[in-house]
Amino acid sequence: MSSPKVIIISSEDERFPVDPKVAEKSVLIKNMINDLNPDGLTEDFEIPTPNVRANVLSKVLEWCEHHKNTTFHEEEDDDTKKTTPVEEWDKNFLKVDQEMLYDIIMAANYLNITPLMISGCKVVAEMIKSKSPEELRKTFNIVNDFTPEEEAAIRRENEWAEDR
Amino acid sequence: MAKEEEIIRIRNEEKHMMKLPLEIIVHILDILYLQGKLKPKFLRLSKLFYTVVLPYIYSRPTLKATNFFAFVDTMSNNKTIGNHVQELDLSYIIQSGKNAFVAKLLKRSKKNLELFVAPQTSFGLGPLLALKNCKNLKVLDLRLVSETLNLQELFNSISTLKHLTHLSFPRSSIDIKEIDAISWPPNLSYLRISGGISDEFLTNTQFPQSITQLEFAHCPAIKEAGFHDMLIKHGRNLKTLKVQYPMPGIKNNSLDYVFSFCPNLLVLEIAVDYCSSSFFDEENLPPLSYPRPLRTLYIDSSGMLGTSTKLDPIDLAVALSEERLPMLKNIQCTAKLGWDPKSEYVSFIVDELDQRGGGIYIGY
Repeated sequence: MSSPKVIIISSEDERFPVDPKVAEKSVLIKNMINDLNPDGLTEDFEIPTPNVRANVLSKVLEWCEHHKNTTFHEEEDDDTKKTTPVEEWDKNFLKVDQEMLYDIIMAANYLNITPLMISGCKVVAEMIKSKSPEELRKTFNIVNDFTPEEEAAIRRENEWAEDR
Repeated sequence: MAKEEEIIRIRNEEKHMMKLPLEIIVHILDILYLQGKLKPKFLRLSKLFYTVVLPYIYSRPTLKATNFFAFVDTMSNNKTIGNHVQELDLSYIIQSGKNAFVAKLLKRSKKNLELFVAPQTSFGLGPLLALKNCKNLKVLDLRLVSETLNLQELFNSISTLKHLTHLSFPRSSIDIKEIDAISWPPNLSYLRISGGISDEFLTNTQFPQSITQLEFAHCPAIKEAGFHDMLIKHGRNLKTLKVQYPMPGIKNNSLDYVFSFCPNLLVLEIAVDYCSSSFFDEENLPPLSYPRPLRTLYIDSSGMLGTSTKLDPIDLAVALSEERLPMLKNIQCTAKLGWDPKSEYVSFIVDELDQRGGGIYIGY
């Protein structure tokens, strides 16, 4: 008999059978498996992820498969995690359209896959750092609720910080 | 029909929703901030962004001669913005400061200010008085201050700051009359003594027992008597002692007694100018009834004539082999000591520290 699989089910009920080692890159899934199977997996284990679409789930699992043997230093503090550059494979993996990038980040956040979520956020940070306020609003769908006068006042008030 | 309306309603709501939830946006802002790329333009995106980004921009402002006045202007015109300031480092503000400006900044940021580095000039009575209300201040660094400082007023201001743990005295001369009337902040753990502090000050003031880290640097007025008196009284409490060149008032062997006066040090920094060749000998470095806890030793040198032959590595090697420094793991010393890394005794020290999981670093 083959070893038991974890079957992750997307919002459209598509089933993704993967090795436990791959699935456990998600801390959420790992905890679920451990909580519900204190003696280890003896048979296939289904986990529905009703807010992750199949195309996104398949990308996320591709990442988990690639990193199944990577050790992430969970003990590192947040600042270290956020300042180290994105590794080359992740950078290429995240070369997707903006909507997919956001979906991957949100799925990684929901499934608690911190290294993927942080890599995605770094890619977004890189993408937006030189954008104008108008472009930034478009990128995030932000409604500008300032009057032009208020906006000008904020610009004046914080001019000192422009020159870094 | 009702279901279609529901779908249209949800789509309409989605149109006005941000594409990423705020908790993820905050991670992205964190990343930009750590890269120094979080510019004020992010404040202008929307009212929500203004609220979220403002603390990032103001918590540790980078202030230079070119933006100092604009920053003072903003802090003066907006009464609440200073509440976000946690660290105020004015070390790059050289001739552009004014007492009134520095005092204003301290007043406006008093609520949450934890660290303050005073500028070289413009740290007079106004700013001194303003310090009194910075109730959350933890670190006060006056080492750059080059104008005469009224120490009495300084202590009047800081004696009630119960979170203050780090204090660095100015390098300037000081003005104080009643030394024994000084009241120290209650929880001070780090003290850096420099400038015009005199023997009389060291002998007559009641240093708080909470001080565990002590540094001396650029103290022309301190002589051996005052230096030793202070170490005799407080040395047992010290975990860190650093004595930096120049201390022209102490003798060329005044540091020989530190191991006796300060048996509980974890970190020691010495300038070889003030040690004799018997610094590591048993008379100066006696065994204790417990393992001497010293872990890290820094040895510096001015490089002046005669300093390169004062400390012989054989003495340190003997002290290590006799277990008089059983916990010592790391040594950082200057090449000016003239220690040859290939020599027998330096090699012994290297091996011994290596076995303890540490090492020796010889730099410049």
